[in-house]
Amino acid sequence: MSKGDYLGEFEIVVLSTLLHLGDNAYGMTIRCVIDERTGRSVSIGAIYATLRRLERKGLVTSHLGEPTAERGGRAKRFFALEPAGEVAVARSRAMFARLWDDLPETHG
Amino acid sequence: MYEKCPPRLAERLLRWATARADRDCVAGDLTEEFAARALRSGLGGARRWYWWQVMRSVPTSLLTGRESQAARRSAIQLDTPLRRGDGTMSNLLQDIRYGFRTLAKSPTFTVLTIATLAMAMGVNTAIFSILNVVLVADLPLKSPDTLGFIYSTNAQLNSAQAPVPAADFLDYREEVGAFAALAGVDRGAAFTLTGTEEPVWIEGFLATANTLEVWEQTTLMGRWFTEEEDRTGSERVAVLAHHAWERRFGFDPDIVGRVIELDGYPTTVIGVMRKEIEWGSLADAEVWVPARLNRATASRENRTLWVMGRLARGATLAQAQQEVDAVRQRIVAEQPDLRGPWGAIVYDMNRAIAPPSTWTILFMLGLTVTFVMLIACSNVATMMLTRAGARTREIAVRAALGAQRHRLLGQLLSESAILSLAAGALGLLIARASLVALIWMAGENSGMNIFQIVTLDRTVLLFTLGVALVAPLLFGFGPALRASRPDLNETLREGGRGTSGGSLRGRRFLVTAQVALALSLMIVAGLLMKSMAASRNYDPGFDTDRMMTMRVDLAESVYPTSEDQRQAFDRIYAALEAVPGVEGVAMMGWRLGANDDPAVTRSFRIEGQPEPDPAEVPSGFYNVVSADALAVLGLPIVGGRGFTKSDNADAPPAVIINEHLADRHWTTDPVGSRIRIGTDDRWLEVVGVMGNIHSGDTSAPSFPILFVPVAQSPQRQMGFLARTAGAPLALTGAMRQAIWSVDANQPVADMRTVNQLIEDSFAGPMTLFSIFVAFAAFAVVMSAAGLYGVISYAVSNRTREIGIRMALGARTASVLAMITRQALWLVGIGMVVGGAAGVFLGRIMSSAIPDIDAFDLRSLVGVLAVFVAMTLLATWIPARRASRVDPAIALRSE
Repeated sequence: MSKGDYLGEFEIVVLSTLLHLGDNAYGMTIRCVIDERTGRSVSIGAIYATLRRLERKGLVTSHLGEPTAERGGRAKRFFALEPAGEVAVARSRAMFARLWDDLPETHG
Repeated sequence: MYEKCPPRLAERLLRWATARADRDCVAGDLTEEFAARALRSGLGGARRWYWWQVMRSVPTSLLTGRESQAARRSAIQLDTPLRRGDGTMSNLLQDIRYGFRTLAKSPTFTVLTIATLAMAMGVNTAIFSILNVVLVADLPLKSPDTLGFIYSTNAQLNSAQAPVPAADFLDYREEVGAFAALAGVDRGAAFTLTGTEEPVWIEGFLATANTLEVWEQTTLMGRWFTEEEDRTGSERVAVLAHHAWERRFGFDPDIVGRVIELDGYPTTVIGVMRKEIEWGSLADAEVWVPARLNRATASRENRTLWVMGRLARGATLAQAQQEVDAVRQRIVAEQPDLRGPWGAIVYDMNRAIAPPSTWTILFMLGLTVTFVMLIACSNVATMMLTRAGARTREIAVRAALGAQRHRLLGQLLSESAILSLAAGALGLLIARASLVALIWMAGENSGMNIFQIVTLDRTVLLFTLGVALVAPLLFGFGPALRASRPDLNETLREGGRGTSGGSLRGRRFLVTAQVALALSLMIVAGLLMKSMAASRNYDPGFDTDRMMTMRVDLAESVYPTSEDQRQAFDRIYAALEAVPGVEGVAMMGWRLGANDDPAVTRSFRIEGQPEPDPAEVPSGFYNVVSADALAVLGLPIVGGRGFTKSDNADAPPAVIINEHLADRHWTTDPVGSRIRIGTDDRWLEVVGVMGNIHSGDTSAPSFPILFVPVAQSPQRQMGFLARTAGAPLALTGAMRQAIWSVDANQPVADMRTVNQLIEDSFAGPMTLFSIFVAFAAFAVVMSAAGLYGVISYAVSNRTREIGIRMALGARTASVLAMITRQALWLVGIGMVVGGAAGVFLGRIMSSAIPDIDAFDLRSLVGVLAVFVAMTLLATWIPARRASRVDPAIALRSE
């Protein structure tokens, strides 16, 4: 396995958030869930930049939804994990698990 | 409904920054969350949140927005400029967006260019902000074109701008018709302000009642004084300066009408001056009081008044000069004792503000920063050319896909503009920092109070913006023009190496120009450094170490008669002498070395000598001193004797002259001869001759000096100089207490050591000199970097050729020599041009500042040596790299 197959920290955050959100993953919900679960208020620009990068890597796919009034008549772009993306999250999760397995609690 | 929308400007910014495919979704996401937040936590919070999101998203979106896709898309979009309605505007925005992305892809280049430009723009802005105050900012004196200024001149004393005697002023006011109004200001007054916690000594200006009328100014509050109040015997009134109103009275809104105590006299505050008046030396005044000139007491010899007048309608300064000359001639004809080297001159506003030397220095500084800017621009241009070379292929591809030339040009210029504007913003910070440094360097007491009022106001900001917008044309246009005209066939076939001889030619020209500019600056800097070094060896002719000084001005209301004053000074003198750690005390009318003290100049007659030509009547700086002043100062007596306690009021009047006067006006030993000073009837016996006092080291010019004993010519204002056993600053408190033990209400002013006085008097010019030297050094470093860039570029282009030469048996040394020779040619031409320009500039500089040599072979040789060394170093590194090339690799390199 080459080094390039591992994900960056923020990429893992975004991919995991997609898993949480399932069918309802688009910019605003992704931002809010990251905010809620990690306490980090990230910018929408950073989220899109990361998602588009993940899309180029083939880990994420996206499609346009219907425009709604509360969005000023603009469409949502929904993001979803590709199978490769699910594999990547699982792999990262396993890696961290192995890494942290025997660590005493104080380091957690 | 409108209020519920997210901030429009922020949304537009966001849309502009975001790649087109994501624009709607991103804006939609933020709008949705905005609406939710507006419901939850109010509109204001939601708007702030929205702005915060946008500000954080813009850089990310611009820089990381899918570079490869964006680049491909832009290349296509750029080629169809007029497809959409608002073509030009959206093209520009595209160019800027694309510019950000390409710059972000080469961070080293971007940082280097911005840093270079920012340094240059920073110093430009700093210097401009100084010039701005002097030249552009609003003067407190309105309609300067119709103002005229009268000064006294004295060629013997090298004085071109001395104040005018009060009696002369009164005559000018009556007799010179060319002036509709003539006002006089005496800047030398000081008052004791009592009633606050400590007695304070404040500087006051005495002015005639028509002063504000001549300036066409008004007071901020209250009023200025009237003609009636400007007469002796009327009720005492004062107008406060704005800063005094702030500092001493905390902006008391009821200040007008309040009675304060000046020199013990109750005085009514009748007005407050405007802040604009605090300009140049006018800022020194804390309080303005009526001058109360009258013919009975006005002096013909004490030069105290700064005279300014408003020209009558249709009158010229030349007419005013003629009339002033006529008045002077009449005065001298009536009172032959006044015949002497003194004359009167009428100046216009510019000449009055600053002597030609200051204008020259300012001009040179302006020229220097322009040079620095040009060097920076040409350095950046060199970097751009190199980069354009590397981008030839990219540009050729775009041109091959149909991009029009003006679109390519626009794109390249947008990049330059982005660099330049970023550098301008950074430059403002640098300028701010350098102004702080300047103020610190100039010091508080240097008399360069101009630095205190320099700010980065709107004019300065506009100037910097202007520079930032013009600079890209200088450093970006040439390279862009070249780059936007690629030879498609050649470039694409060649494999995109983009090595064109033409751009190397352009670069060589730029380096030659840089060397010329930097060298000419360095030559002038060399002359200045020599003069700075000379002032470091300051040796005025007396011992300046361990000497504390202070000024004590007695209030007339407390010590009305000269006997009272004499006794008070004697008591203060004794109290200071008794302070433990004080070795000796000298009392002087003005302290040697103190520029601010009112030095008095007097002309005199020598008994038995025929009446000389007016211009030859001897004159000198006149000082009253205590008996042991010479011993305490360490001034050597070279003939006759010093003063003793017996040179008192009852003894025959005595005077001590210095060697300067003795050599100039006596053919025999002056000791024993007698002189008569000014219109004084007494004959003074020359009892001694002392050593000279110099304005720099002992090779600097000395000046003529007359010392008379204070016991025979008492005065109300004296300076004290105390020689201490240890560090003089440690005794300031004890000395002040000693004076207050004599009179608890007596202010003690301006406590500084003699060395501080001297340093402060040099600080102004020294600051300007060091700015200049720093700029020149900066220019040299930048031109060295430019030279290095060009040589290494040339070497890398010739790698193959060098490889062939070495394969055919050329030795390392001969390759080194070949490349060095090429560099020396470039530098040589630059040095010839720059050397000539430098000598020319040096001549201008020395014509304005007499302390500076026009031409100094030693410093010229030194500067040239630095340059040759720099050239060799900048060449040697790339040349050595080339000479170590392995022929096998070099041959493969193309």
